[in-house]
Amino acid sequence: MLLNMLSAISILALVALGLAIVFGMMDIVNLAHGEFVTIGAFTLALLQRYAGTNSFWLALGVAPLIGAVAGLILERTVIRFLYRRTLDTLLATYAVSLIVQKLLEMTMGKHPQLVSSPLPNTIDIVGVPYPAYRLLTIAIAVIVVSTCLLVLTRTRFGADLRAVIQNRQMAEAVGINATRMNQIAFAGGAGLAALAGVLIAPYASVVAQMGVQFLTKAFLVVVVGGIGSVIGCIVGSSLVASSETLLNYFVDPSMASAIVLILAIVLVRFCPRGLVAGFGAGRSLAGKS
Amino acid sequence: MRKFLLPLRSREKGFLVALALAAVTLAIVPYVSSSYTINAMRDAMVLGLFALSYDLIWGKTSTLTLGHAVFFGTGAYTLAITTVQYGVAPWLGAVAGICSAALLAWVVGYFLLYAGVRSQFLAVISLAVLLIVRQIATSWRSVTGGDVGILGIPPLILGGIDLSGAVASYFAALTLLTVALLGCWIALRGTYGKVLAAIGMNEFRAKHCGFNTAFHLLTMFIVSASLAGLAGALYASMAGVVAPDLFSILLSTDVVLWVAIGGKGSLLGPVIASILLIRVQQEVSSYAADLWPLILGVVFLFFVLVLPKGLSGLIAWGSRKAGRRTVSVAK
Repeated sequence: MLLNMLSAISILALVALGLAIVFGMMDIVNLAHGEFVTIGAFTLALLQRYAGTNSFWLALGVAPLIGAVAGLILERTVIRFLYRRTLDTLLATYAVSLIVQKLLEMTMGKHPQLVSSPLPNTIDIVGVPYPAYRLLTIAIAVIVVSTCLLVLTRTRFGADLRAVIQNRQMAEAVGINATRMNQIAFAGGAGLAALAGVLIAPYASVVAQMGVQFLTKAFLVVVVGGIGSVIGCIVGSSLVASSETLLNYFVDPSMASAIVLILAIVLVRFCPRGLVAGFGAGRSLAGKS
Repeated sequence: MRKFLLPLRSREKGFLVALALAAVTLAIVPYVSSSYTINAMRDAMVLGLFALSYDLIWGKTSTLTLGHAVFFGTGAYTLAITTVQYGVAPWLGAVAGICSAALLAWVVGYFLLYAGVRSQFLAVISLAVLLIVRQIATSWRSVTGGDVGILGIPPLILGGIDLSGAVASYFAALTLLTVALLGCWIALRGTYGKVLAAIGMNEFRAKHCGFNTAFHLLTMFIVSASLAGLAGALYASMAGVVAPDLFSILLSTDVVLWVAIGGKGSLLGPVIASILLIRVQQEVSSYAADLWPLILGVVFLFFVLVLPKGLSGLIAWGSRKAGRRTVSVAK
């Protein structure tokens, strides 16, 4: 049960992390974020179809790249015209997500894609057999999230990125190329989502609409955890995913997700800035939000 | 009373002329078209009322929500439950639908708006509210009928006039739509509309000018929800059936789209845009059901990028340009 919780948390954290960076730093509400998850999952499905089951490891490397490129294309063609219009980004990305979903459905068909897990066997943990693949998911998520955290807090690049989040004009004034930072962050967020997509694919049914269900949850995570903060994102996803997994044992699954949503709303009511004030907090304190 | 009788500015005359033209055009439709078209147009007008309600909250106060269908669905479901399960008269059921939508808006709005939950946060949270209500609608089977919904909703009967016929219900929808449109326009053309616009532009400043911004936003939220509830009740009584589909994300985003394409805050624009788009959708879907979301996405993207003020913004720009040309000719 604990492990189920952990694997749910790790997947959600991966999806939400990319969103948190994009949402928090660029004030972009990316409703197409779920589509990057889908793209990741479809990459895996295609690779496995043509190169066998073991190409999972290949997909793990390729999908983030494809996701990042797709993210970059989206940023260059749509988002960059809308940097000052937060709510319009929401509408534009929604339109993009409609288009992507439909195109995927038309090219790949409506049926769920065939995806197989690379580690079908189970591992005994303290005498209880547990699917090895879930352990792999947890491990990868931990590695990726902690790498992101380290990059953001310990490197020059991370410092620049946080500077842009806190105050774009000042960051530009001290010589940081904010536009380039935005591109990198957006592509990175998309890449993370695609990676999450690959990891999710063996659990979920891979269809064109699969991204949508992760999108709402990921947004809640970001809002609950605190915008633009990696720690907040981890806290938020732990909260959302663990309460949902726990509730699943007591009430029926659809009610469980409703209860989680209600909890999240109540939480947001009482701390509108999220549980962990993120890098963007300085900006909202300054009343510029 | 004085503020309602402001002298008409030329732009406002334009609005009234356009409204009259649209109403007359719509009134002619039933005499020249088949009963299928009449029914389709009637449904489109009910959704036009829904678009109008959304324009009040998003267009007038720039408060974007992604779960507006929740009020539409609440209105529809309340009418269905009261009439079918409890045998209440249809018009009372419609009133109950409006009241329950308003009540829901009050609870949700009070909870969120007074806490300072705004813009993107509000949009995401309202989406969550929609998902919750949808969940309730599907799982509370004894009352809502679960996935199947509720069938056999009686048609509206108002003041002895039976509105079950195609033409009668068409004119009922048209009248309601026109009255609601005119009412909203009159209420918001004066100072109050300006206050709302100020809140939408910069709530921080509006607050420090002495306006209770949360209160005004909540008021508009409730009014908008009631109107959506009315639209939902009308829809339910005319369709005769409600299903959890009413609480779909698609309907919530469709309405955002109609308002965006018609022109935020222009009241008439979103209504016309919604009627036109629904008609086009009905026609396109009969040829290729798959194609519609694709077309929708492309059209929407175009409007957000190129014409953020929508069609009415384009018309205003065009008439300003034409006006300037006449002035320069006169010189």
